[in-house]
Amino acid sequence: MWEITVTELEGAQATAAEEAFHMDEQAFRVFYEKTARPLYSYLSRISGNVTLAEDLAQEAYYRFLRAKLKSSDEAYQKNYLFRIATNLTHDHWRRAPRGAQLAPLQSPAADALLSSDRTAEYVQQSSDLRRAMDRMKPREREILWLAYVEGSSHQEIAEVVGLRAGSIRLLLFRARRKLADLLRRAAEDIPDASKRANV
Amino acid sequence: MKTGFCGQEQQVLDALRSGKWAGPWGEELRRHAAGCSACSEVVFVAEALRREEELPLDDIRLPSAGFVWWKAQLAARRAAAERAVQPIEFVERAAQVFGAVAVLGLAFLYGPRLLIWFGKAGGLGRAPGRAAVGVEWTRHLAVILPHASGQLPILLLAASAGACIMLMAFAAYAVWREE
Repeated sequence: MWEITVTELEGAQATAAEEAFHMDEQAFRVFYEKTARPLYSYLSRISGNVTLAEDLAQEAYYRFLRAKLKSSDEAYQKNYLFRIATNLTHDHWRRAPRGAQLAPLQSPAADALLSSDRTAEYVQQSSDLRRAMDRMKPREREILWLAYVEGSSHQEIAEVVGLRAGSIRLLLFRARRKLADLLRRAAEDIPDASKRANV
Repeated sequence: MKTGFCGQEQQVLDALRSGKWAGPWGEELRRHAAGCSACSEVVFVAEALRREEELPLDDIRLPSAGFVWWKAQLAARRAAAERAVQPIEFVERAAQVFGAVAVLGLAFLYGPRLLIWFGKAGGLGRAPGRAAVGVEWTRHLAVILPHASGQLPILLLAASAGACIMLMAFAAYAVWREE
């Protein structure tokens, strides 16, 4: 006779679920502590939406856990996680209606902090950067963030965004030039605007 | 000032990331960047992005590792359950398809005869007694049944039995693989 209780069945299911993951809970906790903040930061900046970033990050961790990784190297694992997250973002943009892709970053907490604690110059710089980033293409945002904030190599960036390593150098150069131009233009516009206000 | 790419961009970036840029170790690189448009652009953009990165995004509710693990487990269980049901669903769908094909085959084979028979049977409604109806019924069945001794129905039956066996074997394999 087969007598399986609900508890036994749930236990078996849980074990099966854990076996589907390539790391145990303890190892995952360590990995999560190291990667969560950079990943959420990256996703919120490239997607331009904090809520979406939360959803994408959780899905990315789930897919990461289920993936068959070729190496247990920490840098490789982190890169793999970012690749999954980037692909999920691309999938989301593909499904999203036109115009929803480049929504400005919504972060009331950051805005409140900026307006209360930081200098006016700092507030202006941050706001300029956000406006400039909003005018960049999603791929340009990804490449810039990975190179200049995460410190990823061209090879790593290529793996994350799904391009050839050889083309990253040129794309990064163009994206950097574009962002620098936008930031400079924004900085030049402010004195002009204040002059106009004084007149 | 140089324009375009510079071989020292990565060094400048590494110095910025490690914090050596502002110290005495970064003196030489700072001098270089002052005369190199590529490196000064790297510094300009990298500093702007890093300032942004340092901003806390407190409204991002960073869930705990335990919560994410638990959610991943739930999702994995759901996926496992869906995978387990897949072979059953496949067999069900296949059985429906085979059944529909068999019905269509029979309809194609016996359709004209049945139509004739129904036409005749319709006329029986006016027959006076039940006994007469029974006689007519038997006669019409006799018209249909001899055809069943042909080769095509046997082939149809054999194909259905073969498909049934194959489906059972597939279901058994799917369950074994899942276990």
